[in-house]
Amino acid sequence: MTERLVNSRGHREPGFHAASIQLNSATVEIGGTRLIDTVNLELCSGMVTGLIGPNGAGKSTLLKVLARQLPLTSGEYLLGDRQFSSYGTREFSRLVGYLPQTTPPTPGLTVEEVVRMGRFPWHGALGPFTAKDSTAVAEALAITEMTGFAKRFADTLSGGERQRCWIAMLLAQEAGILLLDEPVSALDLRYQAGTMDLIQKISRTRDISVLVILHDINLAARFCDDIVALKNGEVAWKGLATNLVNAATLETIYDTRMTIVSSAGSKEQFAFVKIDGQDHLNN
Amino acid sequence: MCVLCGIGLGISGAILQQVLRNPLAAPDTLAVSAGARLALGLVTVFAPGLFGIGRDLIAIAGALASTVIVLTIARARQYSPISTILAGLVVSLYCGALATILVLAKDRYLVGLFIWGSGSLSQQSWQPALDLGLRLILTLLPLALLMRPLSVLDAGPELARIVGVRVERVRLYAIGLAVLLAAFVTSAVGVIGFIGLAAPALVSVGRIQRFPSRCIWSGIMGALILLVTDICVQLAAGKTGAFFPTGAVTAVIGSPLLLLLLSRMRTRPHQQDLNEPAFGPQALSQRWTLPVYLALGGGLAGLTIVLLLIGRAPDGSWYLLGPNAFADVLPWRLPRMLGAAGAGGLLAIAGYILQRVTRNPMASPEIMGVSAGAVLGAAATLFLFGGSYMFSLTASTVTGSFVALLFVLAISARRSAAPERILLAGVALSALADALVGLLMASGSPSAVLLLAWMSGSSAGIGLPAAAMTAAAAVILLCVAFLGSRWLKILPLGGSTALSLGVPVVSSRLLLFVLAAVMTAIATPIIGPITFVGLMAPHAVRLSGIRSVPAGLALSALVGALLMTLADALARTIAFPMQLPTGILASLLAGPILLYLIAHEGRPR
Repeated sequence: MTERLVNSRGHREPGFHAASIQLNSATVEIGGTRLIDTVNLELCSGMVTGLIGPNGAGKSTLLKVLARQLPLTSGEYLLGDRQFSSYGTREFSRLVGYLPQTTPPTPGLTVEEVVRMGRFPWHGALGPFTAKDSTAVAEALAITEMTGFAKRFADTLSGGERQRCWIAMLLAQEAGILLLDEPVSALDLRYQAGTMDLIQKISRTRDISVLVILHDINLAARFCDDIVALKNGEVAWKGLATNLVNAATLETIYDTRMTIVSSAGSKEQFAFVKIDGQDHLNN
Repeated sequence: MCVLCGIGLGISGAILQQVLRNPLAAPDTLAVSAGARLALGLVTVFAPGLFGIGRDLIAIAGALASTVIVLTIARARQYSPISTILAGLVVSLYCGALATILVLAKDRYLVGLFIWGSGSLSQQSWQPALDLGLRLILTLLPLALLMRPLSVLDAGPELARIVGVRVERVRLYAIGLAVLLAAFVTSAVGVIGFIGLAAPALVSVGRIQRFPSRCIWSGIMGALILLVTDICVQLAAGKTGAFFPTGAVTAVIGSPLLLLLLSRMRTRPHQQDLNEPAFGPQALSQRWTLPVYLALGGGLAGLTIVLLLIGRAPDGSWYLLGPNAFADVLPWRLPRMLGAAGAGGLLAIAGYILQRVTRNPMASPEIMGVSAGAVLGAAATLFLFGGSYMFSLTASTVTGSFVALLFVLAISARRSAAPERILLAGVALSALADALVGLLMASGSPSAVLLLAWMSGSSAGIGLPAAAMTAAAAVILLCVAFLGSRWLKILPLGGSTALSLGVPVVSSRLLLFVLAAVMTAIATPIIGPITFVGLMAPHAVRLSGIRSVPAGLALSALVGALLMTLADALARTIAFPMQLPTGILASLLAGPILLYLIAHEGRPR
């Protein structure tokens, strides 16, 4: 499976081996407010990086900048070995896929049609829809286990299925970098884990670098390789996901007292917000 | 007098906006005034005796009838702001179309109606003012009782219900009162455009929070606007000796004012409504294949031939042409039919494109003011240069619609421009065009009749070369539109998604807009600005379950062409020997279907 997927990406830009993003002292100001303050960031291929932080920390803004949805006020953004602004619109989309926090309604479109839109960066407005395109769509549907839903209307799906449909579209886009803005926050527990599992699997098998905004620290610790924490537009903490669940670290990020609980059967640790009068949890 | 009218309209608008929780609601946009005007026109022509009962009653009956139609349709969609306004606009334009036919058919009687229709405030005595004042006071008294429950509606109907307000009943009474207010004013002085919309809008910019004070301020604001306008008009009249109806002038002044304010207006959180009746029912999904298109195309051809053959003899009897006479008559009938079909197709494609690009199911050349721009261009040429040469007219029409579309573009290009706002801009532009035309009419210049005939869209005068060129343009531009199908497929998902998929959002939108403008500009001179074809055809296609973009484009064009062909044949025969304007007939044909669609499609299933 893995090999075949790599082969299907044979038409990716030569010289663009490992998808890599580098952000050097990036700053974003909108209406005089500094939303992102001299952020340095590097994403490696095949890794899932979790972007966490309190509300208003600038997580979505950062993702939008990386997705070229918002302009950079100052700083440097390198994609591969070139400046991000030197890429054409479609060329950029072949490299970077972006899933907004709220996906748009897709009235009258079937799952397959939504996924086929992911091929636009490749075939453009007028190019033919080739066998290569169909293969990419079929594979994307298969990986996300949406093949059975292909003919269903996307708007009639449940939240979790809809999210998988959008992820399938991003896969069909065959971008080496995926930027996901809270892909699981609207889902129930089972789908949260399932979707994160899928994202992790995609990153491994396709050698894709994923930057994903998450609110659930425990989910982030479990499914991400690296963590970047933002606070007031600055990087507050950066490190391996395994080192995240730590009361001192989380308290500096979220400005709130935390409790860490170990699960009885494994070495896994879980973080909870400490509420006054419930100190008995802390043992 | 004008103080009273301003108060009445201002308060009426404030009530309607409050009750329907819709910043666009007003006597104008809900067809209240249009209904009253049409009722008075009908009575003038067909049963002048009825005036014995009283103008007010007739006006109220008309206003009530049109409002009830609008609200019945809106009710089916839970009074969603956009559907409500759409229904109101359609009914309003419909009434306008009927009134225009009246004028064309019985112009001797109705020049007065037209002047009255544009709202003249000139009075001979104090008596009408006293009458109106009395009526307003009688209406405002019960309003005072409704103030409290109406204020609670600020928090939304759900909450109002929880605190024990009988929402439906309060709504009913309040709308009734608003209709009475507007009808009284209309009956006394005619349609005074835009006060009912502009006054409350101005007040809401002033961030006055509580409803009772909003209501009062709207009244004051309405009176103020009207007073200032009237004084200006009188000063102007004193200098030039010309006669201008104040109502038309308020619209001329009021609509740019409203446009200016649009940029600063708080948009109430209704945006989610705009996504709701979006694209495509979910029930049907059959694939339309080549045979279906061939059948439709064949149907169009067959129908065209049959319609070409049908005619009426000088004595008025219906007959089908024989093969011999056919050759004789063909040069007379073919051009207009070809022109009408081509223009219908063009407008339909333009409508389809605009609806998808703006993500707005109400978008269409007619409603976004593109057609209005074309009219303004034509009016400018007719009155400034006095010529009616086809060439200069065409040039100015194209320019006009481009300017209108650029204007809409400028508004939509702003960040966070709500689709609502684009529509409001379009409505304001159309009202401006209407008002200017009303003004020109009242000025009594001979060019006015020409303009009216042109506006109502008579394809009668078109020659074969021009008609053939229109039809060819339709085919060519349809092919051009095909090139944009993939853009048209992705753009409705919104700028952010489209951008992340690599669609050049700004330039693709611009190109598609320009294409739509060109199409509208070509079509408008032939069939006039008020057809619903551009709005109707894409909706009909949507309901047929077509989802693929190229199929949608092609079918929209076919439906548009078919509608116009039918309208043209009817226009030619129905009032024989008079030739009715094709465009107006098309809107009379399409209007009810459209209203039915608004009421019945996209209901929660």
